Amino acid sequence: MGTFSTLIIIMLVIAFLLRIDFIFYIIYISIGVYAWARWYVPRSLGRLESERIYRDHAFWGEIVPIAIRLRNPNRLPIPWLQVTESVAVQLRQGQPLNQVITLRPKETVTLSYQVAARKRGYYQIGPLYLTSGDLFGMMPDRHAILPGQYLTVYPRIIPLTQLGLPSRLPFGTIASRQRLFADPARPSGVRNYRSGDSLRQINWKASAHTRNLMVKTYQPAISLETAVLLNLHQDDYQRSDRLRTIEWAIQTAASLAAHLIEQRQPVGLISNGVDPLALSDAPEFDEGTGRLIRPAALPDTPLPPEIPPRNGRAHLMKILERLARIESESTIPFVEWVTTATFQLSWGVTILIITARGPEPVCQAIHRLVRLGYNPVLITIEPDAQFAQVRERSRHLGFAAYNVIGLADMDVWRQPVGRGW
Amino acid sequence: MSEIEPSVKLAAGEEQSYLTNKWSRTVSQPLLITLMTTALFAAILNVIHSFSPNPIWLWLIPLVFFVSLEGVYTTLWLAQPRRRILDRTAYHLSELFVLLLITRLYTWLLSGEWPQLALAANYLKYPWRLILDVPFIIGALLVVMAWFRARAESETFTRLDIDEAEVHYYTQEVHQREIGNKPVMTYRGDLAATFFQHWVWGGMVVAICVALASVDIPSVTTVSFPFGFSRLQLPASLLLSVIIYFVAGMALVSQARLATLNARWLHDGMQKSPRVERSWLRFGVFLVIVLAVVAAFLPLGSTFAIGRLLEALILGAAAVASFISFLVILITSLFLSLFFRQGTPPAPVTPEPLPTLIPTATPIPVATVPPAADDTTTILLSSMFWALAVAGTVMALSFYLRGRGIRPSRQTFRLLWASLTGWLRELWQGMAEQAGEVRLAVRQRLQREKKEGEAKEKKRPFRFIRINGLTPRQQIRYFYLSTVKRASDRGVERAESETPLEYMADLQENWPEAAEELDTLTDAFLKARYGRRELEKEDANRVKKRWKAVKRQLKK
Repeated sequence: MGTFSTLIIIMLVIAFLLRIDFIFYIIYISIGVYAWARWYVPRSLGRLESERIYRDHAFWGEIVPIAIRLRNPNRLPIPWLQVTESVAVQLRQGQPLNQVITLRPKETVTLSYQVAARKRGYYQIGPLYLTSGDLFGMMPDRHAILPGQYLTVYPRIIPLTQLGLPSRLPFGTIASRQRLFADPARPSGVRNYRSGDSLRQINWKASAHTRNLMVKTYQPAISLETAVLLNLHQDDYQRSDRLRTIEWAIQTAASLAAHLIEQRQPVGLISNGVDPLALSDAPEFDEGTGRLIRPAALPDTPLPPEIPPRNGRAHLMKILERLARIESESTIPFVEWVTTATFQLSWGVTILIITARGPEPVCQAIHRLVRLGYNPVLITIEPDAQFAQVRERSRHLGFAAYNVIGLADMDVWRQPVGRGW
Repeated sequence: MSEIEPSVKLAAGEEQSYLTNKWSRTVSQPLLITLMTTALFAAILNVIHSFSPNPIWLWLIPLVFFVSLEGVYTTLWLAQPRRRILDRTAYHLSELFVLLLITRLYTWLLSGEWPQLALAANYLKYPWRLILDVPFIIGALLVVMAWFRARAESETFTRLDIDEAEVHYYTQEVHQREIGNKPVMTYRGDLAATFFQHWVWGGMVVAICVALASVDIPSVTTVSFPFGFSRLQLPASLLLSVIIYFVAGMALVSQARLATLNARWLHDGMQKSPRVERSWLRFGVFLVIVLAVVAAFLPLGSTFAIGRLLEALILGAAAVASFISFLVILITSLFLSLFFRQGTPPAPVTPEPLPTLIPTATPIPVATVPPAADDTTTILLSSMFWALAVAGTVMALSFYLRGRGIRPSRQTFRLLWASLTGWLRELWQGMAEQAGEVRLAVRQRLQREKKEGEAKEKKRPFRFIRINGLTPRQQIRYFYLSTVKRASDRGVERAESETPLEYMADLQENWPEAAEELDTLTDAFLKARYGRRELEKEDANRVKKRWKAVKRQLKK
């Protein structure tokens, strides 16, 4: 570019001294080309409107279409525009978005590509790198970035039509719908006054509105609540197959939660894993896979807050979102954590404990929950040849135990009630 | 997926459109390089022409164009995989030799000073006299430079182009690529930058040429201020050269940029929309046209005030520089005077009067014969030169032609001779046929003209003839022929084959009353036409009476 400036200067000197109009003409054109390259290209790229259109949540196995919409608001075209979208390796489906296009004035172009939700996680989509430049190579290329956005891939949900749990458990006796204790802190609606109802339960505003006495109804305080207690203390899992079994544990937790929400029952989630998104404002992603990872700069990893039992699909999405991001970590061993983790739960809540195995200390810890008035159910994830002993032990200690080591074992959960294990 | 429909979809065949367009590679780019090179050297030739106004300089421009075109297309031709073996110095030297030979012939043609046969012995003895003339030297210099430049630029674009091997390698999946097949890396960015610099430096040369061509040379010697000389109007050919140089250069810079980006996109696995290639040239042209239009409306004359300001600045700088140099010289001379001071200044020397010279007769120089050069050595050297020149020419021609697929062997010569003789034979036959046709045509035409002439003669309009002015023989012939004409007008025409006697019978048949007169008239005509006897006036008068009688009968 320096030589071009020199040429212009030499021509200017010649034109000025010799007063040759024609050289001025050539100089004007040269300066025009230079000015176009110097000012117009960055300006046009700066004014380029870009937008990423996609659904930011996806279920496992889904194909997610992503559209990049580019609009050139300028009155002049953009002769070439290099569009490169960065996509996590684990999401790639077909050719990534690497295109060179041209944009006419006021033209809008939509480029699309797809990603495949193959593994749960919190992924970054993008950033989108836009590169453009002049036609003569006088100035270096200019770059613009459309910042990355995020895609949450929920864990795989195995559709369970029915859980074969003992009928004495509250969610096992759904048909009875008996409300043992109504919780005034959780109103669920109103109904007509019936003889015997307490005057304190009358909803006066609703009664005035309907000109009929209406009584408040409450959600049951104890019955039908379930909490999934997911142990993700990585030292509790065997190193050789840790990655797979932890993923399986998370899938099991998600499947159970989805099933219970489907049955209109409140479900909560408590885990001793870590949520990397909650740890840092600037999320970090694995370069290889593109998944969200725990920030390396944080030695003490606080546990994510528990999700109290609620019902409804929105609540299920909240649980699934947490399960999508959660990672195993050497946090607090299960035995030390389990008692403190259940302090916030109401009496009588069913606690589905998902952990690697059921050794004696684990069973003893669960037994303490029984003694505290909860209904724990132990679900072990790792293959265990001596699981019969665990089951026998748990039966003695007052809770049920199941070993779910794969999809074949999950089939058992799909069987009608009564066939059991 | 159905809710998002991309507006740009790349067809499978269009995705890998990285190869340079064939039309662009073989037509537009070579032409642009040739035009740019020609424009550069045309500017130089214009300057030479302004210093030495001889039309021969401007007539060298077509030669430069031809040489540049040859250089560009030869480079393209040699870039083909089958021809790469020829891309050697020896081949290029022979090519250059052939071009110089053409230059020599062309400059002879332009100057009209062909070597004379009478001076053949002289040329044999002093061969350099054939090449040491200014048009050839300058022409050869420019031809060589133009050829080198055109070749260099063409080679740059050849290297900038993406070849099929590269496309094949980089369009494969990464895991399918064999490292052994990886094409040699070409630093196209550097190549494009080099070309850009060449163009800019060439532009500077053009600008300087414009400056030199605008100077009125005679005024340079009369002005004190370096830029105060008067200026000339720029010649149209120079303006055209400047425009062509800059426009073609910009187009080529843009093409080089596109080639560089193409390579980058190919290596990065980019999918290129075919619209990019199409809109590239279109937008480039649009941009230059818009800028040219805008520039046309910008003020040019008002900038002269800045020119004057610049002049003043340069004058000021020159004055300061001269003052500083004066001071330096003064101080230095004063300092040196300390070392070289003489005791007393020398007394002024009174010049003695010069002795009066008596003019003497200029001696007539004796005709001295210049020392005779060693003719044997000269002849030997010139013979060696010619032998080398002929051998070099033959070798260069054979090498150049062999490269082009023409192998000068005995078989080739035999074939050439056969084709030449065949061609000559065909030419002769053709000419003979043509001559025959011409002969036939001429004959037919002559016959036609003859018929037309006869017809004209037959229909010759009446012309007053003074009968008494004719000789008796002519009078008799006239009487007879006028009778024949009158009979023809009455419908009794004389056939070509009819003799006068036969015709007489026809006439007598139609006009039996005048049979005797017709007999006498015909007999008199035959004697006048074929007889050798002298005819008297009385003979003519006698026939005249008969003729009048016949006339009367024919009028009935």
